[in-house]
Amino acid sequence: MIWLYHWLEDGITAYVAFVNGMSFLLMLMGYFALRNKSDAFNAREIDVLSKSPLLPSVSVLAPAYNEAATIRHSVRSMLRLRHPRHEVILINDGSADGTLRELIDEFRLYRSSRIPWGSIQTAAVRAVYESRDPIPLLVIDKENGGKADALNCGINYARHDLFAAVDADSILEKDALLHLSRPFLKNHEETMAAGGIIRVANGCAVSGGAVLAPRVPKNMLARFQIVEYLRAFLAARVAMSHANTLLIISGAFGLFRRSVVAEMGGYRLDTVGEDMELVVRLHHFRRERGLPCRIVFLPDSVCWTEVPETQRILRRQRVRWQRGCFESILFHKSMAGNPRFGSVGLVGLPYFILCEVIGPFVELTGYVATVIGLMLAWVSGGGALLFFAVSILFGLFMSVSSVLLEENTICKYPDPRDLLRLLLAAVLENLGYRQLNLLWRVEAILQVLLKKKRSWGEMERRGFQRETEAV
Amino acid sequence: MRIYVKSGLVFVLAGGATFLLERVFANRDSTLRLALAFSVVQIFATVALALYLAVQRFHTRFQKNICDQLRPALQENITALAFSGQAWPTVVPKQGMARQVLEECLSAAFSGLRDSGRERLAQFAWDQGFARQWERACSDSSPVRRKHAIALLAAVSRAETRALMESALADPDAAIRTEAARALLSTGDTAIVDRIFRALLAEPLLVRVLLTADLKRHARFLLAETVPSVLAGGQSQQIVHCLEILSAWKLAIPGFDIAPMLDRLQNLPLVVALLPYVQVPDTVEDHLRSALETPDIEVRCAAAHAAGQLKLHALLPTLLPLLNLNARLAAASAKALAQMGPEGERHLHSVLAGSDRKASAAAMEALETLAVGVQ
Repeated sequence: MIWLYHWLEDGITAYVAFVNGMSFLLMLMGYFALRNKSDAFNAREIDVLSKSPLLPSVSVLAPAYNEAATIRHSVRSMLRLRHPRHEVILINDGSADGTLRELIDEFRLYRSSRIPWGSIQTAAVRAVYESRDPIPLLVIDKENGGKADALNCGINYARHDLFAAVDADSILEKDALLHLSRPFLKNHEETMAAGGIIRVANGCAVSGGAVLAPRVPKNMLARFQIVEYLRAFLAARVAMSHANTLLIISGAFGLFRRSVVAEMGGYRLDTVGEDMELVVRLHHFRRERGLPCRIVFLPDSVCWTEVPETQRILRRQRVRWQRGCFESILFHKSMAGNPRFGSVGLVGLPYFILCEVIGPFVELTGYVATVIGLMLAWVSGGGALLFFAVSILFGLFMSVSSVLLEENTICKYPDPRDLLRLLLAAVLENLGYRQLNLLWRVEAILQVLLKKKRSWGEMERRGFQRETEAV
Repeated sequence: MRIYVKSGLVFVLAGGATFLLERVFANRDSTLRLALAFSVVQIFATVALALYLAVQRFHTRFQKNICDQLRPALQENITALAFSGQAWPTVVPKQGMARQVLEECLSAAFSGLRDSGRERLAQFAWDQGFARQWERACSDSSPVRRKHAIALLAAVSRAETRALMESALADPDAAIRTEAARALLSTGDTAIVDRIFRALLAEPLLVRVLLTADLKRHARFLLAETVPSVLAGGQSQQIVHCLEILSAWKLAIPGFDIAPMLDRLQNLPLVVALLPYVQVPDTVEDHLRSALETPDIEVRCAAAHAAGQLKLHALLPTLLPLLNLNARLAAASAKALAQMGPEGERHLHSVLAGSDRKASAAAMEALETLAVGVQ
């Protein structure tokens, strides 16, 4: 029995060494890639782009479900985005809280006869509205069908070259669309999608649909999530984008080539991770046909979003994300290890399987095995402590590095006290929060394996209004 | 590629350090030894990173404070020099923070100045060795520094830097090529304008978008000389890009015969965008009729759009069947009918009364757009 235990222990050690090594490598690549940003637009270029008729046009699709509290601010912020040719399409996905009434009153909407150009199957559309004022706003009122269904409906009505999928409750920085257009301009034929960075808006001063002063929130869960987001976006996604193996574009803010997504049939409805699934499917669809496919992440295109501040909502969100990720991998498992799909098949997807699917189980097994080993005296107290320390220290190293990446590149928290708070959160997140996340990830994978019914759940929004009052 | 090499190098260094340390911890189980070595490397790296972070923050803050103190006096001197030609009152800083701030202030001043003021500053930058400093930066390995240097040299605008700018037109980085092209365009030399326009037609969309506005200042020369020769003898892709730029300028060549372009149906969407700006040949009707019947949906939509803009009533019988096809064509056709005035509107009203839901929806949308526009 003891030899089996030591075999398991060696296996886990080898796995941890491999995954940690890969994460470290990604972090390094992210660091060097971020330092090498020569093509970021300067103020003059932004000004030229914002007036250029040659820039690909964009339809901003924002699905909304019971967002009456924040919808006016969100739509205003989307209309204020700098872009020479953009329209905002808000899809009211069967809200029951007066979201539509708010919009009709605020933007002087009339019932329009606009017809959809696309033909993706969606829940029934009740009515389409446009504004009497000269603003590029289209509101689609439809039966509830979920976020993916609402986005598909938006794609049907969109008429521009690109569409941006955004969360109605998020705040995009004024030049975010222009920055995100960059890969479509640079590699016009190859770029299929681009994603921006998602930053935590909790605690920030918000006014007139824009974040005025970034601040680290008081809530500890929100702080942990800031460190997590920095780690995920500034290290992993920058590196994966550089290697063209990016498999996720956040559902809160991404820009896609409309014609290609429409040709693929839009978002899938049978997964809670429609954002990741679409990106993986784009790779699958294009590479299968021998067509070029570039999916890019841009850290200078910023979208602010509110993150959960209670454990209950956070758990629901994380379980949903993990389910979505696992489902997407399952849908496209045939790509893994297949050289036909290039770097995505050989590196991107296998890495995701190792880290996101197998990872949680290995980590949990590691914790359980250490406890059993200690109880049966198969492992010394010092040895167990050392392994625990290695795991914690690596997490700590990665978190501190992410904070450094943010400092070195897109410095958004000017107050040094905020930096200290983030460093403290980077230390503390390894003692409890990380383990909690691990349990939720395992729970999500088990839910998929046991075919448990999927649900979106609701995010309790405090609304940006409160911060505005504070300002 | 350099990113992979650098990352790999640091990775190997960290791995090497771990394995070296492992040998230090003798008399233990091999896995434990490795774990211990890994922990030590991690602790060291984390502490080093945190320290670096703190030092960097402190340094940035310190620098900012000094810059804030130096800036007002330097800006005042620059203003006096630029507007009234007053000599620099103190010793010009040759190195260190003050020099950096001066460079920053000069860069800001260049963007807001014209004519004699700019000339005085350029002379000052030249005399004080800033231009030579920027010339050296043009061969820096960092594209960010190269781009910055090119932008500043452009502001100095001296004949001596011209060769450097021209060589930057071949830089592998598109952002630097763009910056160099902008700088050279500001000289107004027609030979270089011609060269840049021709080179631009082979550049990615990003460069075309960024330079189109700068080139518009030379539109008269380009429309007279370069554009006709490109349209006459250029490759298909060059012609498309050329037409794209013309449509962005909303300008066309005087007396330009668009008929040969209409024969190249794959360019039609762009050619059509130009139609309002050129002398339309008599044959356009026949060309558009055949374009409305091609299988390419883009071409058909563009042709419908052109028919509407030119109010070609003779094309009404060809436009009407499009209302019964797919939604996009129906919308384009309905919009064209709406643009044709009362006769087109009459047709739209008759479609509204018809049984084809797709056609009547398109007609309704077009009429509604018309009504909202009138309102």
